[in-house]
Amino acid sequence: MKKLEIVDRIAPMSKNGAQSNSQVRKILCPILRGLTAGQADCAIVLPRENANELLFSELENLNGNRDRHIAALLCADPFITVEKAASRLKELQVNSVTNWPSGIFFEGKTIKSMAAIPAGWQQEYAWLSKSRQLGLVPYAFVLSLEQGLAALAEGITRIILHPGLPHGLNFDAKVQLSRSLENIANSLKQSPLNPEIYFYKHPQIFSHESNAFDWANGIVDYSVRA
Amino acid sequence: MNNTQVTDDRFLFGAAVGTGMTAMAAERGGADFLLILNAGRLRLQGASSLSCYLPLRSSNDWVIEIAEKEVLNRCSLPVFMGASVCDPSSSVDSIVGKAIDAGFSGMVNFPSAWAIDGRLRLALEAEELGFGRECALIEEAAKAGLSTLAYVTNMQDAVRMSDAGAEMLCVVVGFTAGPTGVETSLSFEAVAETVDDTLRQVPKHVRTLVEGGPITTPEDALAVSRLCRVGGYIAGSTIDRLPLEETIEQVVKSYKVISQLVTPEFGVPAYHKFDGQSDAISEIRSQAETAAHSRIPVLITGSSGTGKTLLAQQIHSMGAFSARNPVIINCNSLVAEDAPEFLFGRAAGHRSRGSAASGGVLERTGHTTLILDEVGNLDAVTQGMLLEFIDTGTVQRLGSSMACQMDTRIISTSNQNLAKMVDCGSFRQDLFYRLTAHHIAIPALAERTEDIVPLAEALLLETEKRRGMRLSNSSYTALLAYSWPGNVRELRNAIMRAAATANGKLLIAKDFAFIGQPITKLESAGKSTGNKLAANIPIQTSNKDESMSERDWIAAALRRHRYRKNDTASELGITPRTLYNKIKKYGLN
Repeated sequence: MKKLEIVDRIAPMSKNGAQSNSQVRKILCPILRGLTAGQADCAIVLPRENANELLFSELENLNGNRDRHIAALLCADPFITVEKAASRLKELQVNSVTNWPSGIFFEGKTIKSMAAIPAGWQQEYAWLSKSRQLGLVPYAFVLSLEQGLAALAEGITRIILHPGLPHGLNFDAKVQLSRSLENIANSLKQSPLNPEIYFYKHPQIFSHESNAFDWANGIVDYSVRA
Repeated sequence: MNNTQVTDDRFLFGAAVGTGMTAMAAERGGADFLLILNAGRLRLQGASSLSCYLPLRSSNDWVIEIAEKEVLNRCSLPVFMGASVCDPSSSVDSIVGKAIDAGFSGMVNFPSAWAIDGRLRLALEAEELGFGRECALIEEAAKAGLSTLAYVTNMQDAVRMSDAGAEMLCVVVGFTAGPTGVETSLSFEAVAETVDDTLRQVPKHVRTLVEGGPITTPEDALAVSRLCRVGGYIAGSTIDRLPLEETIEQVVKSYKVISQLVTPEFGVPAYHKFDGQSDAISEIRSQAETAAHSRIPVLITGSSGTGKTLLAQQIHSMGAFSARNPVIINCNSLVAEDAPEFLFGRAAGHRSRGSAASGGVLERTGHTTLILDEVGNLDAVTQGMLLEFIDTGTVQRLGSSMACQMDTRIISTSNQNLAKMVDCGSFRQDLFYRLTAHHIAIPALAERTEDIVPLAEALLLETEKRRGMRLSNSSYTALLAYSWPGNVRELRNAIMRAAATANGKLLIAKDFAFIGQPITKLESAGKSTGNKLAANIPIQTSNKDESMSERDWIAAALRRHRYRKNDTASELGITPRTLYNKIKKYGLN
């Protein structure tokens, strides 16, 4: 099973020049620095810093194996086009990108009002789709089957299934959630695009489970220190 | 002083801004307090106000930076910091401390969690990054002595904020709709209902305001305030983005339109505009060309409607300043007491304390021509001021000690005999001499009847080019038979009227039956042929009779030869004596 890891900074180099745990691909998202996984879910509505500038700044300082990193971009940033972002990422020899912080949790009136930016999962998948056309490899965070199918419809074949917001879930709900996630993953796998399904093992929901997600092609861990 | 408190009971107006420019403008406009919000800055960067929620920059650091650099040292109004509680590493104490250090006099919760709903809102609250923390911020700010204002959307939040010590509550009825990209289906009545529901349990001493939704104009705010319990309005995009975008759009359109208007106006050869074939007009054109190539003042005289202003514009268009439009002042319309200010402008504070400065029309005459239309109508005071301007070439605003130098060409027109006015003391002699370095007199149309036909043809072509209208022989006769006391202007009007009312493309004498009739009579006499000259001249009015008669045949030949009788007689194959008899017979004199 493949392993991905959400990080807020580049891991320090070892003495022989290799980065620690170099077999695990990193989703680099510096805007999450100092946030718990629960807070990280809300990051799209937390105007703490400039998410994309922090990302590019971190990538500029990156030494070693750049293609082990997936750039987590704020796709709703009104001041950077996908073309410009893709160009900068290529200059930095980073070839993978994902949508984080993300609007996958927007619902109700928030969806409607944020569309004025525009921001939301549909805009993010369109953004990622364009980045694919520009030569990047997109990974899409999705929350539901609807979102997963929308991502696939945009030609995005690497899907990171988010289990949802962790608050108020009891044990029974977690069991039910696990089954639901598996069903979503299996449905998405039916696609002729043969997608890779990654599961985001949210630490505030699945802190102890280890082998329950064999339906996924890979696991994503949250490795940001609050 | 930025520590002024908002305490009185007037209808409050708060301006939510994001730049020093908008803050200062709002202060000048009479706002009661300012809110510095990251949304205000984002709007003026072309982004949606909603972008204020996105991690594009540290909201608090940005607001403090804007306020310190652009607002707090320039505005004397109370300034509220739009403070965010989104960063778990910043305590509410430290946020309040930063606001006080920067010099804010108040604090408002912005961006607030009110705009987020569903499970994401629950997550924000669970992570202590939501409205609960905003209440703690307002409470801390109140304790620290800052003025406090809270955005709320429902009764529960309003009560929580009131309990936290908020002095003012602003009920938000959604983000502002309209060109912002946000839609709303709320009516003012629904807004009023929401406001009253929200404020139902809020103590009366708490000042209440409203913002957003369908309220986009002062009239909207007034309408809502009359329907519910609100004592004020906070404007964001309705005072910066919407009016600014509209103004810029209109100004840009004006620049584009003006540039389109100037080109054809002065791109056409001037000679083509002052039509006429008479010797008098040829001489005038020659004089105009001479005058155009010099810079000396020109006085053009002639009775009303002879084309004095047109000739002045043509002299300008042939001269050194043709790249710019001339400045034309109609001296008829200048009111004596207003004329000096209109011409020279005024310095700030000249009219009354605090009154703004205003530029006069003469300030626009640099490197162009000033055309003083009907200069004989200037009053004595204005004549004196104008004399000073002509002598020195400088313009000094009333009440100002500063003068600016103009490089101006002067052309004047008059339908009065200025020399006689000088003799009787109603026009300054010194001004008269300065204006008349070159004098061009345009004769009345009645004194150059040979110009009537070519002028009529040119005017018809000018006004009815698309329709391809023509003048018939009988219409020539009608036009030539009239004395045209209103000169070319009257002829133009007659051509336009006939063209507008004619049945076909060929204008016949009947179409000009109105010529010379009093206006009151004309209105009720559409079919009348009561032309004073029509009675003397046998005008053929039916289409059937439009075939060339001997009279028309002779008249056309006379026109072709500019009324030179010998040449006309030669062409017609008759003796000059016979021609004279025919002219007498047909009334072609």
